[in-house]
Amino acid sequence: MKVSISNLTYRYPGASSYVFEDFSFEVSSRITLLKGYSGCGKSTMLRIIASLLKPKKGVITTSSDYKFGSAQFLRKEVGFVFQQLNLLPLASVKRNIELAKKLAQNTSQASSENSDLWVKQLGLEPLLHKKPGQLSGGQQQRAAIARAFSKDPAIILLDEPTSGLDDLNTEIIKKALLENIADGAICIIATHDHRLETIADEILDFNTFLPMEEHIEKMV
Amino acid sequence: MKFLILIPSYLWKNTLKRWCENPISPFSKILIPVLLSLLATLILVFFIETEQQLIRQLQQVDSYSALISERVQMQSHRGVSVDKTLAEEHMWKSKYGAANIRYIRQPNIPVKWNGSSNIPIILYTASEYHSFVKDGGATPEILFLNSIKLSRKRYETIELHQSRVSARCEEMPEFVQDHYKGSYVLAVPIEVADRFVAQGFTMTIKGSFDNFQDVESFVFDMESYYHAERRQIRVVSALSILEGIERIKKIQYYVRVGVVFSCGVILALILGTIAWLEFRHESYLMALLRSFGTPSWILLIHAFLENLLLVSLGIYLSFIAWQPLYGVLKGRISIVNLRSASAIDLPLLDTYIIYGAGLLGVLVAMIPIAFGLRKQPGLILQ
Repeated sequence: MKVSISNLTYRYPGASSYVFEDFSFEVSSRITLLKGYSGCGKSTMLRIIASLLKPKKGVITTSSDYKFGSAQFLRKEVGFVFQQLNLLPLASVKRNIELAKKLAQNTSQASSENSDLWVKQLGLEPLLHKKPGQLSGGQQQRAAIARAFSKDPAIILLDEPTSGLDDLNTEIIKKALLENIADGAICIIATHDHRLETIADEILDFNTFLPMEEHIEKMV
Repeated sequence: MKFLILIPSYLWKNTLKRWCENPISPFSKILIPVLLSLLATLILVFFIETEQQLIRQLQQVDSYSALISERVQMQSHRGVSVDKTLAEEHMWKSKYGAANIRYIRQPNIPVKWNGSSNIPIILYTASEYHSFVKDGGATPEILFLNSIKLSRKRYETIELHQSRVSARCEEMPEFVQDHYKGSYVLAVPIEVADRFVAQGFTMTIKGSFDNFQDVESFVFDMESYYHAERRQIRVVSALSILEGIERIKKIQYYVRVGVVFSCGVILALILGTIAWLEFRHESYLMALLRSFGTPSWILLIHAFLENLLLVSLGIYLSFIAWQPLYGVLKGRISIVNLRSASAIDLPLLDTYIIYGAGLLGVLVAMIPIAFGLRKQPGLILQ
């Protein structure tokens, strides 16, 4: 899988300044890290790639068979782990994972085995029948990752997946990512957690586009 | 296509949870249609009841009838004879029904009896004989109809146009009493009436119906026929009043539709506001489901079905409740003097109009939700 972004321009509704102006880059590495200061546009980039935000200008292309931005593209090709996790509150962990799989229409034996692998790797077996409200922050994080990966997406987007996590949970997640990302799939992680830099094949530093001093000026 | 089952099943689970946590919302979505439907139903029923009362009153005073009268002068009257009027009578009765047409032929000759003069005289046909005499003989005879209960079958001597005749006393039938307010009427068989009609006679045709359209048709036919015959007639009817009533009925129809439509608009505004507030509360879940690839139309249809279910339940409850409520109200609204509601069924068309107004209200209430679903999920999800 390859994602190409050309001449991307985006501004939030009502905002005076642009998050991206004529920005281009390409992602094809297995694990790509987007790093940068808070508010530099990491999460925004992920959401644009997931077609959850529509850019004002620019073209985004993928090597997927599905049209970028279509409902099928979202169901089958994209797995997203939100910063706020966003597990369905009335469904158990198992149901959350199954829902994502069935929406993607991934019901093959291989898909089922893959899903079981993620559950096992992330230590979720004893938690499958619990609802998100009954889990700790770290457990919810792992459940959200399992949900994103279990549908076998070609593009996995993780927004601060280790935010607030201790080293143990972070290592579990790092190990699972390193060992289980499917061949041909790409994983883009938006984070300012330095602990994840060791697993990245490529690092895109948003700070190089906007030096810290200018960033502080912008924030003020 | 499993998502067509998975997503709605999760949405209904979410809906039931929301209803249990906050029952005011579904309760208000049922109560408002109940109140509006009851209001619309009572207004419609009130209109139907007033219309039916008016029709009953008109029927009681015989307003759905018309009187056509003609003065026939035998010598010069363009060939009109008693036989011709008999043929015309047969023609009109064939068209409008024998029970609806009554002919009264009154010769212009003086009748005297026992010091009373100007007793009316009418001619009757053989077929009408048994409406005067229940147990009479085969041969029609001259009858002295009276309303003061003179002994039946007794004979009285009547002075009739310079001759004396013997007339059998009989009770005056109702249709004769309606036409003649006096106590006596002489009825002569038409077969022996030739010498009595030489001076001419007044012919009165009464058409009695139970609706405006038949009265209008009858009067039109009569006027057209006699105009073609070049005969002068006089028409007495309540047609102009009935035409006014028909106009009012037409206006009433538009008023009724307007009332029901207004209730639908009010329902739409209130439902739309509640639905929009709920949507804002649920916008996070909607955005999350859309981020999984759920099409917006599924979410919109779910919102529509949820509201339609509650509104339909409300309208159904109002249809169950309106008759008992009407029964309670009718005794208290003395101004309009309403009758028993058990005699009234809400017409099917009005039922459909109320349901249609409810459906319209729910559809319009979905407009703000449809706009809300256009918001990009990335702006809601963090």
